[in-house]
Amino acid sequence: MASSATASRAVLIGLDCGTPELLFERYADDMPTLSDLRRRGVWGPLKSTEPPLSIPAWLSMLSGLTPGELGVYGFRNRTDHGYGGLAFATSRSVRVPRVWDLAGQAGRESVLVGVPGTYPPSAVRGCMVSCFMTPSTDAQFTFPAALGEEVQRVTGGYTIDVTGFRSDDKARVAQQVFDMTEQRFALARHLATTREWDFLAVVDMGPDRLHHGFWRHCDPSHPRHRPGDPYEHLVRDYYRALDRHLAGFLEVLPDAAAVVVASDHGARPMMGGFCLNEWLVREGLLRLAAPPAGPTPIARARVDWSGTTAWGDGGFYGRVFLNVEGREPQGTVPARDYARVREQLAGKLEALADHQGRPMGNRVLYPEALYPEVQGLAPDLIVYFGGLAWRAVGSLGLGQGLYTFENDTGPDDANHSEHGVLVAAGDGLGGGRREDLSIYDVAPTLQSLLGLGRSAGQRGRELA
Amino acid sequence: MSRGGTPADGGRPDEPAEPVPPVADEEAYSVEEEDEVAARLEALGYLD
Repeated sequence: MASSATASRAVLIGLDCGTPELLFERYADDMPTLSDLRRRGVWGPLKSTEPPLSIPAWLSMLSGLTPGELGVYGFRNRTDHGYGGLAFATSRSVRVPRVWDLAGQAGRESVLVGVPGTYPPSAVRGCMVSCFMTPSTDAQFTFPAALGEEVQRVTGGYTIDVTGFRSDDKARVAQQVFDMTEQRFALARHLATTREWDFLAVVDMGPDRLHHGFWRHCDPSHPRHRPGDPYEHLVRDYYRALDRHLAGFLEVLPDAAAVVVASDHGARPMMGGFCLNEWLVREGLLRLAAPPAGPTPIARARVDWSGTTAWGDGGFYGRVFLNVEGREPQGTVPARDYARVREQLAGKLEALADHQGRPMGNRVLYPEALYPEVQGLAPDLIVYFGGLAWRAVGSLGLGQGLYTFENDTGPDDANHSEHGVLVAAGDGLGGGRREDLSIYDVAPTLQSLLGLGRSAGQRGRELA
Repeated sequence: MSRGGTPADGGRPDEPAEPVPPVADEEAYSVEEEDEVAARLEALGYLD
């Protein structure tokens, strides 16, 4: 139910990893509800943040600020200049208002379900079910806390995220993804019809989990695609189901509510993994006190820091840190040489070849060139191996050389791509396809729909 | 740039504020909870 019969209302339906090539092209005919929203509104590929990764991207989408301004560069971030590793970004890392904070300041009610960057749940004018970074439902995962029991009852046991993802039991994993998406939309329907709200946001992680686990089955361009395998149509069937859930959710919304469907980034086939720290060792830039006995994360490797110039952290993109005198405890790079050493390293990374001797096409980015401000502790270099066709492997001792194609460091079906999706329909939202949409446009657009002003420093444009 | 606090901490969007500190927040998770989240994200390929 809405909080006012006359006030404007806005709904954000987030599809983590929603990919334009799938939603707007390959499966467009399988998604009549989304296609109808497109016909009625403005839509197109949505340029993500740098890096295109869920936590910084959703934080940026709903604050209108860059990862640099937020000081959040990934799921985990450096906490100091020591070598002790990285700590998770949580809701408490966010020191700027997001759309629901601004709505609350204006006396407007919000309902939030699964929006990344909301664990631990915080006080909101309305209610909140926290995100996939909730450790379990044993922790407080709602605001108010009492909502947790209702969520458990309505859902029959709330699924925070897919578990056991690396299992060989693909059928079980697939079923979990389908069930989680169904449950998210069922909960959103329930809260939409039982709570007062002006702004409602629900984010489903299902597309991301499906893409990481099953992309090769549906994409003929993936190097490990096998036509006719049992999961060849799984992604199509998932999007058909998602579209039905979307239709059921839209049915319960007030006619006047504006609807924004958005994703934080897209997906693309992953060619393999590049062993970043293994390469730094071979280049003489990372010195080990002892070789690893087997696959070893960099945080647990025995590193001789006094002989190390740089080290890296892996994941869907690479982060490189220089070991700088006066900054790191055993820094070796004189501060006066920082720019030169970093530039040389960037050049080497850009010049890397793939396993067949062809240029990888790596992109190496400097944080201060990407962001208007660099808060917190940013990596010295951000690396997209093969323009994100390759993942960055931070672990050492894999015994596979510089390139890995096996699945022992995580799923290798899909990596992230730099464009997600946006479809927005409602009063003042129209114009059809656009090619210039940015993730920074989402917050100002939602705020405009809700009759709220812009917050300080916010980027992007109002599309309404 | 001007940066405000959140409603929860009493800030206003137009208030100047301290630069955002590093994102460490050890209080958000117990050790066991952090391990649980890390294992889940590692299996998905987000951490390495």
